[in-house]
Amino acid sequence: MMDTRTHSTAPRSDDLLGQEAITQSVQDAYRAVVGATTAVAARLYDPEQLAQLPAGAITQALGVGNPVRGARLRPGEIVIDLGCGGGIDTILAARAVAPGGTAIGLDLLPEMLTVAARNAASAGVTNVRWLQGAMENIPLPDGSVDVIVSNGVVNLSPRKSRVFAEMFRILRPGGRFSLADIVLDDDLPPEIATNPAAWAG
Amino acid sequence: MDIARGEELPYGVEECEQYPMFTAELIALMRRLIPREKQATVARSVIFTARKP
Repeated sequence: MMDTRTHSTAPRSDDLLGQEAITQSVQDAYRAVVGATTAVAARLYDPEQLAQLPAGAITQALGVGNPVRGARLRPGEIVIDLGCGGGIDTILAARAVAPGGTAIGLDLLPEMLTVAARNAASAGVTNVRWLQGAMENIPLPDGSVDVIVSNGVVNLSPRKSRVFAEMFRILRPGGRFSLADIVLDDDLPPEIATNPAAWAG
Repeated sequence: MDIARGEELPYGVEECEQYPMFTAELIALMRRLIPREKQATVARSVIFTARKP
């Protein structure tokens, strides 16, 4: 079941220019790479985690860490995976919050949600929901989730402050997040920093 | 809100090459423009955790 409710999104002074172009570039890049590699999952996930995942979820893993491992999920919790992609972290989270809990996979691309739902079905996971929407405008009520996980996705947003505001809004008091993302110690050369593929990666 | 920093992984040009979003053109640019001694650690992935008060 997809939920497409929206919330107001006031612009902020620290939003980047060219947001629509950046977002379109990221979407185009991800549409083109579904199901492309196993190398990423092999580097990031424990053998025990990989053993309980379908091949489709493994080949579509494009994250940069293992946020579910650090989330200390408990049965009964509601967890959302921001930018779920092929669903690898959503599936792991769903298993960790069962019985009684639910994992929600959020992605901007309906194609990704279709793939993620297929992977979850292959994994035999049923305590999942799929939401189409932007992480800058999460279609969930205030205080409605216990835990947020995200894997290499917040860096894709040209409105990161808005993403963090939304995360704070949807977490219940006492709720927590576990995010894996990329940080730079030095500026990249401008030819690299402005390359559209660098925004997607 | 207290934010804790957890696991870290280095990302060099070789690791970036595993990701299909990084085009051959971009990887070639990285190899040409990033100093050789920095190519093994262009960036780092970090796990951040926090709890809402």
